[in-house]
Amino acid sequence: MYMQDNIDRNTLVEQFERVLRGNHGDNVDVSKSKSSDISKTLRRFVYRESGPLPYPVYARARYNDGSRGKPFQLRSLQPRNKDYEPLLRTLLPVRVAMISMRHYELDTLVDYAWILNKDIPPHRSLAYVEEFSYERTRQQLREALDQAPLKLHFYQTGYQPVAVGFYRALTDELLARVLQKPVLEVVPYYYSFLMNYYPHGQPWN
Amino acid sequence: MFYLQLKWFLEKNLTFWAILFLAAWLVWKLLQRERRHSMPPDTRERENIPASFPSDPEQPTPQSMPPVVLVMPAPSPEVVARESEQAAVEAGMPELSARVVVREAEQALVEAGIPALSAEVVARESERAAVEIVIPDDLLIQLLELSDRFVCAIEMATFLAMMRIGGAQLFLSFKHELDAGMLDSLQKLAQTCRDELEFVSLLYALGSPSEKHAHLQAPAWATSFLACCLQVYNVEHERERLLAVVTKNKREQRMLDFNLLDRVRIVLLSHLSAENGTDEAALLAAVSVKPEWQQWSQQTPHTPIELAKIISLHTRTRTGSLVENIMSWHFPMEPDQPPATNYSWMETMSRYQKAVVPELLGYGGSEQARIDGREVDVKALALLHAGDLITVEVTGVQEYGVFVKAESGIEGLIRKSKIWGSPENVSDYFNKGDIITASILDIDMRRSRLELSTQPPAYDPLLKYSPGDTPMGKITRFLYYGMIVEIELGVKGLIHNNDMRQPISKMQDRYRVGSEIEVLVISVEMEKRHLSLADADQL
Repeated sequence: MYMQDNIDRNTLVEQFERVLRGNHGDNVDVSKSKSSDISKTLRRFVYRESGPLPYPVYARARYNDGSRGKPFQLRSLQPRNKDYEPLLRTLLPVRVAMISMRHYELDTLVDYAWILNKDIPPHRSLAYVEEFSYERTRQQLREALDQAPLKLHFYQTGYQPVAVGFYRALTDELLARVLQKPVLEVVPYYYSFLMNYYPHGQPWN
Repeated sequence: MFYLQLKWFLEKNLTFWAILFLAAWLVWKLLQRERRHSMPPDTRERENIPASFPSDPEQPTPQSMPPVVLVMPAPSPEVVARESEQAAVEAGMPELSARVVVREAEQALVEAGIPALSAEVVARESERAAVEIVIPDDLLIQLLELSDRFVCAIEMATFLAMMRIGGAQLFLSFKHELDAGMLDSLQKLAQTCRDELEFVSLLYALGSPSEKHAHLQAPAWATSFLACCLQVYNVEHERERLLAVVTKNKREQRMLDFNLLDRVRIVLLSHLSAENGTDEAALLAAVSVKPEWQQWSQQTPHTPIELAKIISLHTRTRTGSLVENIMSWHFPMEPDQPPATNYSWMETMSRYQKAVVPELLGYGGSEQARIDGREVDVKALALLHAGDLITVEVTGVQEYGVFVKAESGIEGLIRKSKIWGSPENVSDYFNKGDIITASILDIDMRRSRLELSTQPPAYDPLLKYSPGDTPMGKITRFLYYGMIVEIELGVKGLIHNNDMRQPISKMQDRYRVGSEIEVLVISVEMEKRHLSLADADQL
């Protein structure tokens, strides 16, 4: 199982690397990847390792039903200066479940459901669901950040298009505020089947 | 001539006229239905038209349905009498005198001492509120959506479903049907609860037909009594309909979580305080809210994220930093105990079980009862709860598990799949008369039996083995790619075909399942708890 997980993750990483090299089009097949692997790999490829790329590179998620999501800009975010960290550390985190009424074990862990189960459009393509998640996330982040800085503990569950839409919106929101003080931080939490709890991943800020 | 032509036309086109008539009749019916839906709710009530939320073809007939009107105590005795009589009739007890019901309901409320429903509060509220309060559909939907946003939709749906059939007052008004022990138990149950929200939630959990709450259920006669009094089956139906509003891709149900009731209180307060309508006041009267919640609720409007922060601040019980003033006043039943800082759902329920369930079961002072022909220590059973470690004696060993008995005489079963180490043959490791420590997984209150699991040893036996060791093991299974050897409980390994000098068919001729062989440990994989082995004899 471990080996299979590693193979899946490596396949995803290879696809992103090919997109960055420019010889694989812009498609990244996420249909066989776990939601946690998708967001971990996205985090790895959305942040810059060194200086900016000479030209913007975009990837598009391809889903099980053949639909493709909108472009996701890679190597676009720069890691925050460490001096800013205390500002975000003092914030009270809001614990958020990705979708309501799907993973009941989360109910006591979280305070808020980011996307309501009933709002997810039924009988539509997965790319449409990704776009819905993107729009809803942009709207909610804007509303929240108009009031005060925000720190989210994002308990991620396994519906790939919603997760991709969330992180695409988060990337765009962080890109729009890249020259400002950090006012938004999202720490992903993934369910670990073997450990039976939610370890956290790298923060997005 | 014209008359004859008309007559001929009518006779020849009889089908056409029949269809035309049918269409006109359908249009008339539709118009009539539109008129009914456009009426205000009180008009519908007067004309005895059932509420239409949400439409469901399986909805019982109005005669068998619980009243959708939340009956509040009325300022005038006549109105109270009429409504109580109606409630009694709908509950299947038409022979009751309405005045007796009212008197007893009022008395029960006072004796129960529910703060939100004490006589003074009720009287004051009743002066302001209308006699009949309908929870409108749009309010229900708003409350459910908001509670879904703050992940307490299941608790909210249960509360609203119980309130739609009459709330705590309905349940406490069945005093005449109760014997003294049962009445005491019910009143004690009410006294342990902070408010009507908690009371009706607990009643639902006790009387729910859901398997999820099976460990809380009373014996059959008590369940049937509760089912009669609380109309839990109608509540279940109503609750499912309400939950359908917020779930499209529902996968499973979960139990009520009493840790989330504070969230329901905050959601109700935050949503209803801005409106101050009659129905809102009735719902708010059923929950007790902390003063600081009222303070911020007046500072409207709140964005959802702000509300989430407030909920996070007031209901965070798992981090341990913000809980001291939340849980300290939750349990007035055991004042000697220091206030705990972190209660789980099971702990909460076990407290209720300790205090109430033995008496609710009707055993009163006697600790022994006959269940399924066995003498059972009911109070000892009620004191146990899932997660406890108990010492038990093995009374029987079967292929599928081990039967055990606790000191109090309560019997239980440890299924083979719940034995740590997944032994191939249970009888290799357990004998009749062994004393072992086991963890309670579940309590079957109906049959007074325990479902248990064994505990892992303090020292993992796998750590004893390293590559190069040559322990003795027992063959437990032949596979096409090798054979499984069990060295001891919790330590198993595979001798792969590649590590055999002879093919597996030859090995099957040489050995049998159960044969003991000396094996060589090639490698140890701690994560998979797996050993790679080789047959030491063939090396």
